[in-house]
Amino acid sequence: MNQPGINSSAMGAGERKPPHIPGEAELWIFILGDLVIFGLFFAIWGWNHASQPALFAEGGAQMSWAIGLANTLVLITSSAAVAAGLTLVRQGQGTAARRAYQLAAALGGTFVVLKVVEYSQHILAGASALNNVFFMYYFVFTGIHLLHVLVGIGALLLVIRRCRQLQPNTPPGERDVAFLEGIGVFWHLVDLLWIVLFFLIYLAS
Amino acid sequence: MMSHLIGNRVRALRPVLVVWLALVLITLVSALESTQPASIYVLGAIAALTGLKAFLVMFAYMEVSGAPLWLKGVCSAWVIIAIGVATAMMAFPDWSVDLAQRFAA
Repeated sequence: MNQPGINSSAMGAGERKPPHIPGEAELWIFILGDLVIFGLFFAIWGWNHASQPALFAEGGAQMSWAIGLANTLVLITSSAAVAAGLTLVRQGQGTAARRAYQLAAALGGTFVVLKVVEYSQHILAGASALNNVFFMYYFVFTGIHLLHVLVGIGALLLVIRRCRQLQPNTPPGERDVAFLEGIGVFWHLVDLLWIVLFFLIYLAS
Repeated sequence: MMSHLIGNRVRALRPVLVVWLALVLITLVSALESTQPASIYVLGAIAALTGLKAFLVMFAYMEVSGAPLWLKGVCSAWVIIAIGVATAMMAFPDWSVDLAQRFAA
């Protein structure tokens, strides 16, 4: 298995790298399934927005734009840290990679804290999933996304442990790379889904 | 030796940082754009910027750019359809509701 990506290059400058599925191919069944499910969520949101525009405008006005924006920047930066971690692992720089993954996990934790703060604000203001369609879908969709974040943080902790086991200044084995690529793909998926949720809930509503 | 190592690291991480910077800038621009009075054009612009961010994450960070053609196609189709359908429904609510009622009838 070759190691494609942003920086890997064991081949000549003019050679084209053969196509490569990042991580394990089986993982993509789950990733694509998740994309389909969230694609349906987005369509459900769009449909309800179209059916009750006044309700969604009112609900959107109650969203914390600042927290939504902060969470987006946090996840984007966390995603960049994971991409940097994989790049560093491929270079055999396990210690630096571990720090990048630690930063990514810490930023994931920041996202969770901000989300809890935001949920608390809504609940204290009297909003709940039973209030109306806007808040029902808001809590359900962002709640399912939050579960993904928690699973992702757990996976990043496994990655940090794996980085400790890597030999210094030695390129990792194929299995290590596939494992790290897979976790990376999942974490970027979490980022990707939030980017669209941020658009639908905070910017478009 | 140390400066060589740091130089190598910076060179290797440059593409990651460039994509990160682009994502941050697009996020800030789309957030600012959302403060404009609501219109189909503003919604379309924010949706397009969101689609661009989704493509960047998928192709650069998820490394779909190096994946087989079928995976590139599926991922591209998802971005266009998922964001496009939701945006179209929000931009044209009457048309969306009317279309759904015709299907139901």
